[in-house]
Amino acid sequence: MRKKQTEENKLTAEEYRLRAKMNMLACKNEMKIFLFTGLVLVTALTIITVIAVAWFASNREVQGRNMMVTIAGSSYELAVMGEKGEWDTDESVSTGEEQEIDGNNYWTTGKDSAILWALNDNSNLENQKGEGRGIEPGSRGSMTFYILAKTNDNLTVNFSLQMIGQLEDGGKIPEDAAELMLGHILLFAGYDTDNSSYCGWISEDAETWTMNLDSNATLKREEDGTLTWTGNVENGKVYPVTIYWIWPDTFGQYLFKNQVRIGKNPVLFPDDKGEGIDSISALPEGLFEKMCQTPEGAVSNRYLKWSRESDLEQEKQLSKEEFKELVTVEGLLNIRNEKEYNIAFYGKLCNYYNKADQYIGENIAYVKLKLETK
Amino acid sequence: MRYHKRVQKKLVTKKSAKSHVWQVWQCIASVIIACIALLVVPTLSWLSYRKSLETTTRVNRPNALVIGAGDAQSISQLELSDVDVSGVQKFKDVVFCVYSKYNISYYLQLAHTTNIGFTYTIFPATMGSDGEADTVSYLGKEYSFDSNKTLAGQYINQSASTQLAEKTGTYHDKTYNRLDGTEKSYDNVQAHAEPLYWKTNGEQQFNQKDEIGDYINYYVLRISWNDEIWNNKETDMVYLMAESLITE
Repeated sequence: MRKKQTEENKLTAEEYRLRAKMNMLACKNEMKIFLFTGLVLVTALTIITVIAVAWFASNREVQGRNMMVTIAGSSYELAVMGEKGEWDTDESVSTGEEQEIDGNNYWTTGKDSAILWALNDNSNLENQKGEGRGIEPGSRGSMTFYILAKTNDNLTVNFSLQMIGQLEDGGKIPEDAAELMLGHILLFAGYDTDNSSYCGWISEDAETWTMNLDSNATLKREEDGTLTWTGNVENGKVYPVTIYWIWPDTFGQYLFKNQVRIGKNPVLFPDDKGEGIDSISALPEGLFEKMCQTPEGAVSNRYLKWSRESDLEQEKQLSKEEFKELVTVEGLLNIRNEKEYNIAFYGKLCNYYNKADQYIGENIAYVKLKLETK
Repeated sequence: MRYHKRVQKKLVTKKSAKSHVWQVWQCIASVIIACIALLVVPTLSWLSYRKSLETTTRVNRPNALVIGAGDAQSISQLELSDVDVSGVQKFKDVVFCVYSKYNISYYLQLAHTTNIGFTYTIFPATMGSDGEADTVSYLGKEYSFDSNKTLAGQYINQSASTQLAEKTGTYHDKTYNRLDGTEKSYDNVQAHAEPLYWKTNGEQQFNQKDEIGDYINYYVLRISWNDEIWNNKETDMVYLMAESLITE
C-alpha cells in the first residue's frame, strides 16, 4: 500500500510542469472573468452615481431634463402672484409655470422646483423692477404665497424661511453681520391692523405657537423652528399664506407693549406670557437674555452692537464693560413695564440698536428671502 | 504515464468546475446589487423632494440723513470741546454739513444748554472762497458765507423774560418725560441746564451734490460771546439735528 501511495504522490518533472501550466491557465481564466464582472459592476456604479447626482442637482435649479427619471406626482405645488423683482436676475431660478386658477394668474412650481417669489404692491421690499430702492430701517411689508393642492382631504406642508445676505460682488457677509441681520430684519406670520402689532414670530429665538388662518387651515411653529401648514384641501384649489416682514426703525418696538412712546411704528411683542394669553403675540421667554449677551471677542450680539470694528482694543473693552453693566434683563423689563423708566437708559439702548443698523447697512448689500418646503 | 495524466485531468476539471461556479455567483451578485442601488437611490431622492421660492432685495444704510463735519467728513471731527474766550476775536466758527443719498427735505434743529452765555448762529455756506463774502477754512477746505444772512429759524421754547428755556409748558414736559400727568414732574430743574430748542422756520432743500453724488448742504455754526464771558470751565451741551419728515 505504501509503495503505491508514494508512487502516486511522486510526480515527475514533466508532470509538475504540466500541472503548473494548467494552474496558470486557470488563473488567467479567472482573471479574465473577474475583470469582466468588475467592469460590469463599475459601469453600473457609474450610471447610478450620475443619475443620483443629476437628480439631486435638478431639485435645486432648473436644468435640462434629458437624463431624468420621472418621479411620481407630489401632493402640492407652490404658487405666487405678481411680478419678478429688480434684483432677481439669477438666471438659474425660473419664474415658474404660468397657470390660471379661479380667474387669477399664478406662477407655479412643478416643472421647476425652485421659482422666484413674485412681488405685489404689499411686498414693499422696494425691489420692483425699474424702481428698486432697497430696504432700510422702518421698511416693512408682506409676501404672500399659495399652496396649490394636488390632492384631497388633509394636506400638511412643512417649510422654513431663510434670509441670506450677500456682498456687492456676491461674496459672503461677515459672521456678525449675518447674526445682526437675523435680529433686525424680522419675519412674522400675522399682523393685527387694529393694534398695529405683530404675532407669530418666525425666528430661531421665537417659541412655539399655533395660528388659525382664514382658509380654515392652521399654521404652527414647531419646537425645532419648522413651520407646518395643515389644512383640509380640495384638488386644484389655492390656499394663501402671508408672511409679514419688518426692519424695525427703533429698539422701542421690541420693548414696548403699545405705541405710546414709538409713534407710528408698529409693536413687535404686544403681550406678556401668562394665563389665558395666546403665546402667539407674547414676548418670547429668554429674548431679553439674548439681548444682553456679550459673546467672547465680539462687538455685537444678535440685536445690539456696542462698539465699532475700528475702535482700539482698549475702547472695545470699555464699551463691552459698560454694555454688560448697563444692559440687564431687569433693566429691559423695567422699560417694558414702564416702571422707573429712565429716558437716558432707553436712549443708550436705542443707540446700540442704531449702531447695529448702521453696521448692517454698511456690510450687507443684498438680502435674499427664501422659502423652502421639506 | 496514463495513470498520471488521468490524475492531472481530474485535478484540472475539478478546479475549473469550482471556479466556474464561483464566477457565476459573482456575476449574479453584482447584477443584484446594481438593481437594488438603482431602486433605492431614486426613492431616497423622491422622499427629499423640495420646492422653494426666493426673491432678493437691496439693503441700504439706515441714515438717510447724515450730519458731518466740513465736507462730509466724520462728525467726530467737529471740534467744539475747548473754546478760548480770551482772544481778540469774539467768535469761533465751525463748518458742518447735512448730506444724504436721497433728495429729501429736512428741518435743521439746534439744542443747547445755557451754562455759558454763548450765542449760537447758523449761516448757510457754500464750498470755495468767494472774494467778497466771509470765508472760513475748516478741515482743509474753504467755505464762504454771508454773515448778514443767517439761517431762518427761531427758538421754540425761549422765555421772553429770562432768555433761557421756559420752565413749564409742552417742551419742558417733553424734555422731562411728563407724558400723561401721572409721572413725577420735574419742577426744580436748574435754569441753565434746561435746553433751548432752535428750529429752522421751513424745510431745507438740497441744492447741490458733492463729488460722490450725495446731496449736500453746508452750514457755518458761529459761537459768539461778549465781554461778560470769561474762561471759567463751564460746560454746555450742544446738539445738532436734521429731521426729515418722510410720510409713509
